[in-house]
Formats: sequence, C-alpha cells, structure tokens
Amino acid sequence: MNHKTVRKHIAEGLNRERNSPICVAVRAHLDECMECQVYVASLERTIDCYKSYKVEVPPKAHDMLEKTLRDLQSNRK
Amino acid sequence: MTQTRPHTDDIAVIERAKSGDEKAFRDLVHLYEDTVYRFAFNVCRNEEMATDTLQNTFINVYNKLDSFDGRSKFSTWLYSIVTNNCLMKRRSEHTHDKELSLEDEKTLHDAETSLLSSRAVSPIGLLLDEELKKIFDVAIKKLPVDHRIVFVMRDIEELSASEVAKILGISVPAVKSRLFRAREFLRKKLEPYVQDTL
Repeated sequence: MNHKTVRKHIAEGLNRERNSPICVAVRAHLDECMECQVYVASLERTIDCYKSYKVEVPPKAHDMLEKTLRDLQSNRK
Repeated sequence: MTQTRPHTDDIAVIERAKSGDEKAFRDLVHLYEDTVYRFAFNVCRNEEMATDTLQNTFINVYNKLDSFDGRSKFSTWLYSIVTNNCLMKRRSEHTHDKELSLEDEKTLHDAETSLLSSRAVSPIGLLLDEELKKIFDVAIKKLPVDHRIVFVMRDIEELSASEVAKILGISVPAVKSRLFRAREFLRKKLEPYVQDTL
C-alpha cells in the first residue's frame, strides 16, 4: 500500500471501526511509516481545531427565533 | 445532529408537535436550535446568514412537520432542510459572497502576518484566539461549498458517511471523495497554525 492509497483510506476511516482488511493494512502501513504518522497527526489536529471552535446561538438570533415562533403559532390560530 | 439524548425522547416530542401541541413544537425547536445554528454557521461562516437560515429552517419545519413520516431520523430530515436553506441563502447572496472572497484574501494575509509576528513573542494557547479563528474562517470559506458541507457533517457533526449521502442525495463514495479533498485542503492550509494548539 502506498502513501496516497493509505491517505485516501484514512479519510474514510478516521474515528471509524478499524477491523476490515483494508483498515488492518492501513494500520500496518502507519505503524511503519513516519511520514504518514505525521500526516495523520496533522489531520487530526486540524479536525480537532475546527471542533474546538465553539459556535453558540447569539442572543439576537435566539430572540428573533422566539418571535418567529410566536408569529407562526398566532397566525395558525 | 450530534446527539447524546435518546432518539425516543425526540419521537415523543415530534408526535406531540405534529398533533398541534404548541409547547411541544417549542420544545422541539429548543432541542435543535443550537445544532441548526452551529451547522448553518459552519457552512456559511457568516453570523447574519446563519441567523436567517435558523429562522427559515424552523419556519419550514413548522409548515412541513406533518410530512415527516419517521422513516428516517428526525435529525436527517432536519439536516436536509437546513442544508437547502444554507444553499439558497448563499445563492441569493452570491454577489456579496464574491466580494467577500476578495476581502478575505486580504484578511487571511493580515491575520497570518499578525499571527506569525505574535507567535514570535508568545506561544499560542490551548484555546483558539481571534486571529486563529479568522484564519480558520477564511480557510474553510475557500472550500467549495459542497465539500465544506461534507466536512462539517462528517467531521464536526460526526454523521456517518451513509447518513451524509442520504441527506445530500449523493453516493457514499462521493461523500468520501469530497471529505478526502476537504480534509487535505484544510490540513495544508492550517498546518503551520495548528502545530502548537491543543
């Protein structure tokens, strides 16, 4: 298995079950390949950074939604 | 949406909302408000567009809830609606979006310059600071929106590839291909900045 194939399979397999023959082969490659280990680490860091980017509903958006709900429900009556 | 609560709880609320229970509908909105906004923001990377998408999504849900038959998960149905609303919002503001991308090039450059100079005197902390957030915003906005949606659904919302395929009406291999490209793009763009974080 070459680097490119491994990286394509990693895109399918990060955070996934890893018992299929392909995943076993990918894991075997990773155990031996420092370059791909660095790649996986940087990929995981990138994803973790996006996950740590907290997004919360701004109070203004929440208030607008509450008003929209009141309007919808009063119009239906 | 990324859920920890039991699916059955949602079903009970949905059934009550479908039968006209207004409080149940409000409860349903409150259950999903955060995730709809988060998804809309992560796709649009714009607070105003995400706010509009939030409103439009729940108006659609209110008007179409009767058509939800429970054969798929409610979250799958909801993601389809919010995704369509994001795409429509982007299309309706297409000119504005183009202008923004030109501006963003400068923002990216400014943010990179500022971040690199600040790194010389102080290491990046564990939390994302505003400069880093700007870089993240600009990097993800440069992704084609179809790739961006897949990245957000798979890696941020943690949906399965088959669920994403169903929501978007594409094949599972197409989901995997878009995800691979999206991750590669973002990894390359952000590699210099994420080394010291987390």
